[in-house]
Amino acid sequence: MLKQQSGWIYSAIAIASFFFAFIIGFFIRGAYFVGEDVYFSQKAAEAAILSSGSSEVVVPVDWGAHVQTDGSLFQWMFKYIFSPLSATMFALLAFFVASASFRAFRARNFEASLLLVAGIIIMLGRVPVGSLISSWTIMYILAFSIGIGINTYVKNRNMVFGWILGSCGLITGFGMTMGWPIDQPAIFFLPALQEWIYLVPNLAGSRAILIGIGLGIVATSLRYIFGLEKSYLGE
Amino acid sequence: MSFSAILGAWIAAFLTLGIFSYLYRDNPFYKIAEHVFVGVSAAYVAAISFWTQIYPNLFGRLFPKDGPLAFTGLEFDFNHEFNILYLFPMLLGIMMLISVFQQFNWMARWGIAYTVAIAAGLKAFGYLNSNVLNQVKASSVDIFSGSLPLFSLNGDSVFNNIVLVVGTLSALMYFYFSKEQTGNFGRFTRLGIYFLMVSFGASFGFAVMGRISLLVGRFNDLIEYSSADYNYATLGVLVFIIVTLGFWSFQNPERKEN
Amino acid sequence: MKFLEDIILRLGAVDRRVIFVLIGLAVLIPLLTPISLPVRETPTTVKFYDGIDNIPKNSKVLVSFDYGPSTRPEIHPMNVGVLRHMLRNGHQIYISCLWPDGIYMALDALEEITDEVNPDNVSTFDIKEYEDYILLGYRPGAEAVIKGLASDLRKVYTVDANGNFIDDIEMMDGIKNLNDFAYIYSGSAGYPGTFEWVKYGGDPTGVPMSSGTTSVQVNEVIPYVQTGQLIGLLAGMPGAAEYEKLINVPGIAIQGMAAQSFAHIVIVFFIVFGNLAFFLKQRRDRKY
Repeated sequence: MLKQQSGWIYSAIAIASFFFAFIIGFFIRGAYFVGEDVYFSQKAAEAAILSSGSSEVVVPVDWGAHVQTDGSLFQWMFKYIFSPLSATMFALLAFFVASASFRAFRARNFEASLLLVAGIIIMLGRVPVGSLISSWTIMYILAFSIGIGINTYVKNRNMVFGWILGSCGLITGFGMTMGWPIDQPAIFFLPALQEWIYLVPNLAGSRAILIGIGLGIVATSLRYIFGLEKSYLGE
Repeated sequence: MSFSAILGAWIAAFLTLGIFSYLYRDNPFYKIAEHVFVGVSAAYVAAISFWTQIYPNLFGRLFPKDGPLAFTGLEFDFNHEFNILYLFPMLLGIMMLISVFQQFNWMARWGIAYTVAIAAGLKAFGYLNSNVLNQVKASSVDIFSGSLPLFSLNGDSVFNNIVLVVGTLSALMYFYFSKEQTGNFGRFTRLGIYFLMVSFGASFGFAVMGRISLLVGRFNDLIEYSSADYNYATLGVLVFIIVTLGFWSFQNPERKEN
Repeated sequence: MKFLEDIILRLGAVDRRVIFVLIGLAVLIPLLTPISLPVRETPTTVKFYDGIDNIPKNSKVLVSFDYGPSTRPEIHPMNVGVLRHMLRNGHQIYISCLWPDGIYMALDALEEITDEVNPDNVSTFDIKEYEDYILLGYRPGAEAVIKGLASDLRKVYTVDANGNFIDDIEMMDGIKNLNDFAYIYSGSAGYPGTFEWVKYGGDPTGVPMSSGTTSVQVNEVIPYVQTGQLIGLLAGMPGAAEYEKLINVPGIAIQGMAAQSFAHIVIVFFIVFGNLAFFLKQRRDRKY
């Protein structure tokens, strides 16, 4: 009983807000000009003229233009009701994307790892913070990650130890001779690497999808035109 | 700050925080905001579409000033000439509206058939030209064109050209299902999957980026509404929602989901 | 070592509300205490900037507002920047909208830059309707609208957004269809938007065009950039920030970059951490 009642209230809210917006959209001009100023109602506009004592006249906005005029009641509704609602609905997804990426994105196999790594590089490389991460840091992280990989799959401690020691020594050696430039070598510098991924392999994949979709749509359109496909009529 | 702006800010802050309250759990504030959204957006779209299209471009052409239908008392002056052909879209539109009644269900089909045909014609050309022909043209580059460097990370190079062409071809081949993907062909399409995966990864990165940007925008608005100009709308609403939600969840304890 | 693993595993099963709070804080704190991070222009943004900069001075350009409040934080700074850039170069701007909300976005953008003081701190924009810009307004119909503009603009628009007859407006003299514009720009959040402008506007008429899109859309549109169907591209809020830097008017997008960066770091951390917990759990399950 209680449950039913509460559901009824929300439906009433939806219907009431529909009529509220419908009336503002179709039956109220909601914009009366006095010179440059705009008022929601004729009364307010006249009151403004009286109080200022000016000789202006009230000019109501045209029907049709009233939904596209700055300062109209319709625009007020748009700005303070429609806009925050639709924007927040979308922004809410930010939280769910974050929680989903924590729970669902697992490097289960090579393909999934590729997806993850590309995603992470794009995410870090395209924002300012990416250009603060030195390419040498990335190289050390890479060396350690490969070390962990060897440890997991080969399980030879000497090899792991040798790899870490060798690679880190090499990186440090090169770094000291080159003077640790933040963006060299470019393939380990996130903004440069992200740009390459974005404009080369990613572009290749995107283009294949684009061509694939293109061919698909052309074929479907032709089927519609020649009457081979009638599902849109519910047949 | 005018009264209407301050009132607006309070309403906006309430609706925004009401939706964000869903992060805690489904609750009456969220439900209210959600239902207001449904109601308002339906009427909003109806009003905008009517006043910007039907009113000037349909009525304006059927009932122009001093037109042959002026005797009906309907005159809409949008500088149009009278055009009898516009009776057809009006008729189709009315038929679409009538089709909400079960027995006139079939009436919508004419309008739908007309729109689908137009869309199909437009799309067949547009997609073929822009998505297929232009893309294929762009992929058929001279890989070894004289002056290109062998390798350059960002910029045209022989290496990048090869990656682009091989990537596009292999990924495209992956969508080719008429031949079993085994053997050398299978290995090639496997390479295609890798390119597609990089592409999906990038899409994922961009999707995260977009959502965060929108959140930044919402928070910016909330911060603006929390200023003294708006009588601290955000803070007022925030306290109200938190306190009420506290009481509410005390009375409606969450069932353990599993 | 086992102790450490236990902690990671325990944290791996953390309630999702904790993640929500952390993301919220990562965005909120940098907005309240502004931190400036260096913005680095990417090649596609530079190409975009050059494309607009190279339009012959005092041309007629079409700017389309194809987005609404839901994606405003991403597209709005781009469109405001593009208007600034174009007006600086003396272009006349014709504003159309494929989205119903576009008209309000356009009104907001114009309000923001009208009478604004230029970076030189002396001159102001001083732009006037019907001289520097005209608001054509919204028309429903998506690609059909663009197709209509490409053949005869006056069939689609007989009145502008204020209800004035197009034929009576001096600024509209000599404008018959898309071919009469020197450049097309669309700030787009999806359908209808960039895709439709390329297919039915830019490609058939050959008028150079570019676009600013939401991050989500970037990957679908990027092939058009390489082919030259689009002259450069602004990609999401970071793209807008880069463009703000190029036109030298730091705005809301640059301010948002710190929040954007921190949120990305938090999410990357969660992904890495989630995977670590996943592997440890897998290894334990295998052992027992």
